[in-house]
Amino acid sequence: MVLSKDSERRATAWQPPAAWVWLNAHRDELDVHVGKWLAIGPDGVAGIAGPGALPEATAQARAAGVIEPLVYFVQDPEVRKSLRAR
Amino acid sequence: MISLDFDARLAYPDDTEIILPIAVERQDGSLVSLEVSLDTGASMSMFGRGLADEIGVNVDEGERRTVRQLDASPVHAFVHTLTVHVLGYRLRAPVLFSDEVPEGARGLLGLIGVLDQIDVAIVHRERTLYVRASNQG
Repeated sequence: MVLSKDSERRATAWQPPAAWVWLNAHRDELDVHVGKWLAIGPDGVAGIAGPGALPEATAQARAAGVIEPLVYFVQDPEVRKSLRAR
Repeated sequence: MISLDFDARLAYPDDTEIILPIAVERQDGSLVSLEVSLDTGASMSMFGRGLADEIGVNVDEGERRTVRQLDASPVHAFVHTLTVHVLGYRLRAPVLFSDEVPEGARGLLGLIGVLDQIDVAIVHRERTLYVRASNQG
């Protein structure tokens, strides 16, 4: 999904961890991973797994040396838009 | 100081709700993926009747329940026990199906059957949710 401009403003306000900074900087690229869990560390994506596999994404990141990965589910922005419009 | 250990840390981007991807098992074991809102104020999970066909549930065969909304108005629903995959955990949980959930609205994940099987901690200021199985003490 693409983070909203509101999210960008909020990110400035609440001093995000490095993972959120990375997410905002790469939000356009995240669209190619719709339906995936991304496990993110300070240097970017450290684990990718399918829709039901949050633990696997976390485990991949930990195996890559990220102690506290932040996992993020990439949603389809069009689906989100249509749900909100209803 | 109280500290808890969690299995995973999840980012959610929305200011006003915590939307989670879940999957519901059909009778044949296949999965239906959908997005729901985590609602810590809801006693039970609730889906609209429209999802029932996709999941393969005959709504009217469930036990009839009447639950109350925040304004105390009644909502008539039927309860079914489903197998639900939430954040990597496979849970058996009662779910209410109601005609009164608007068509296209997201389902709700509530306390009974979900938040008594997985522990979550919410740091909304950081839009972050921490999760673990509830038997980890």
